[in-house]
Amino acid sequence: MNFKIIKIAFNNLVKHKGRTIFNIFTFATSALALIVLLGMLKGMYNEAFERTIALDTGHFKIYHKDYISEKDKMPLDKNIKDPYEVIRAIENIPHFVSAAPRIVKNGILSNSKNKTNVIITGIDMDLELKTTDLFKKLKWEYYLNNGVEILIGQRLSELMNNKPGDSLLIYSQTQYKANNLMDVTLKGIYLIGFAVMEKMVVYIPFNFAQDFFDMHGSATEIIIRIDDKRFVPFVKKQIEKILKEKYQELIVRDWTQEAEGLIAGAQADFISYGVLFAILLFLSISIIMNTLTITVFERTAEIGTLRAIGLTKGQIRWMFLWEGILLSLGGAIIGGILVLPIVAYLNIHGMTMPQEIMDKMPFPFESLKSKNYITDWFLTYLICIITGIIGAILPANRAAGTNVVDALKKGVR
Amino acid sequence: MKKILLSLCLIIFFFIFLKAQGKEKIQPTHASNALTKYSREFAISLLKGVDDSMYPEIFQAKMLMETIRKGRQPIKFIYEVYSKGGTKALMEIVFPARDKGKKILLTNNNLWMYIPDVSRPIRLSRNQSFMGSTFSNEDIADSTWEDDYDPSITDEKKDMLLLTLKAKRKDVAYKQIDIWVNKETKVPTEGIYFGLSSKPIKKVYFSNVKEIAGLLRPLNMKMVDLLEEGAYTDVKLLELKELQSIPDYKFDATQLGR
Repeated sequence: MNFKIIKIAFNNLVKHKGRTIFNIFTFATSALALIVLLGMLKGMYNEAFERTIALDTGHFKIYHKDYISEKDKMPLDKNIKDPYEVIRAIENIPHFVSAAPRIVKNGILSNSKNKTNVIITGIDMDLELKTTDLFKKLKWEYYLNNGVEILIGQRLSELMNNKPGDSLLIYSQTQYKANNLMDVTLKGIYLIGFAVMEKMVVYIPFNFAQDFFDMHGSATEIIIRIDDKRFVPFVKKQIEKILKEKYQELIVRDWTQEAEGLIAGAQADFISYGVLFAILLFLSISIIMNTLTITVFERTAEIGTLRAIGLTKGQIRWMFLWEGILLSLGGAIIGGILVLPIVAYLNIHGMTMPQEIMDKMPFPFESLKSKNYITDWFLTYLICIITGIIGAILPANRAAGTNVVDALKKGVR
Repeated sequence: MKKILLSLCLIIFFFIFLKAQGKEKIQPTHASNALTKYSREFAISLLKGVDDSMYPEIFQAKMLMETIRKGRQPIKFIYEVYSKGGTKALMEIVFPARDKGKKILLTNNNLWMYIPDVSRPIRLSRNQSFMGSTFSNEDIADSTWEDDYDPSITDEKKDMLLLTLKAKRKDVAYKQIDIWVNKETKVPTEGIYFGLSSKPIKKVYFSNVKEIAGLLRPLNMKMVDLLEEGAYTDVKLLELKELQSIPDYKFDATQLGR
């Protein structure tokens, strides 16, 4: 590495302060935007993934193997015959935390004045409390016992104007497709901060669901929680082994299969934000290319002189490349420093979104908190340096290709 | 003073009585209460008469369906129906213009909906509402009760008999249907559909009985949804023609777009 060339490049940048500050500002803005964007995207999806696991999918779900192809219809006849026995068979797997049987079926909830479509979920309250975070904020007096009772979400209770103690009607079909309608007492109202679920999903005791759906002890799914989602591949293999040995009619699906929509949404978002950022970087490349090209024209005579006193074409090329690298690195470092208070605020406090926006969110999360790691800065520096080099290549080649005699004719200013 | 107090008491009593009447619980009739003077064979023939009075075996009809729900605009459709043997039916919407051309096909308990702009027919679930009405798809699909229910006669009022239909199997849509039928004409006047837990789900009223296609038939039907206050659907039979046959290709799901 020729430090003299770097020094000349640095001196050139100092000499053209105004232009240098403008270029550094461009890179600083790009670096700042990239770090914030990376943190917000990771934070949003990490929260969405964790909350989806905690509220909806668990780390795994076990189903009857024929259930998945008809999952949209929520068939009750494709069921797990003895769910508690299956839970006992898997509970000794390492990293296992808890599992709970469920019966899930679409239906209608009515207060005799209004009705609404809902997803009726039969749950074993004790096991559900250990397996999901659904009822973490639920008052203990609202816990479902084994009576003919129901829990509805805060949003649904507001829409239907019902309060605990009210009598409601639930309507659905049994596993034999016979219509059923029953009076239920509204035991309590749950609040999870995810409007879609609060409006759509109602919970009834597992034993009551057995009678209501005529299930004879069966469940439509078993939801399983482990201690960390990093162990999902390992635990999945263990569960598959047990199911293969004892319950060939059952299959296990992990949370990524259950939350396919969320994963696809995350990927689509990363791609669209990636495109946005590529445009930002393209602008940075164009700006640096433009600036350095102008510099090459302005410094033609200077380049001729440098060539005349012995600098090779390669050294001239490197001089301009170093100018690009120094500009981008300088900008990235400044951007990386300027972003610190913003990142600190977003990582600690997050952004409060208006309730109307939160209600329309298809994913469950409580607040928009960023999640930045030190690697984000390294990644940003790397991207900025590459951008700087790309932006400097053409002007550097042009400078290297300058004819010495023609350049000297212009005279040194 | 005594008179005023007495009048007040009477007024209060009258209101309590009215309120109690309004809240009267609808209970299903027990089949064990079957009136012994009517044989099982008579009950079966009455049920067959009810099934026959609804529609002929093979027919073409035009119907108007209007659904009323509180706080919402009424939904109105006119559709043409081709039906064969109670197991095959094709309905095509002719009004309103925006829904014209939509078709619903029933073949052997499978329901399909064809929308002109969508190339493939969509399979419908049996318990979904039929075109936003208070009828479910299975109410439309199960046009005859004879195969699914055991009939008995459980009450009698003047010229009306209460026909109690008990589901023969677990996979029948309603656990019980109580239906008042005219003894002479075998035309139904009103009925109640009960769920598995014996709670009433829907009420149906038949009216405007006229002779059409060789039999006395109710031309109007009103289905009241007991889960939603003030929600009902009126169906009016505008035209009915008994046919000798309808070609099978008309009920082919792959031919719906033609």
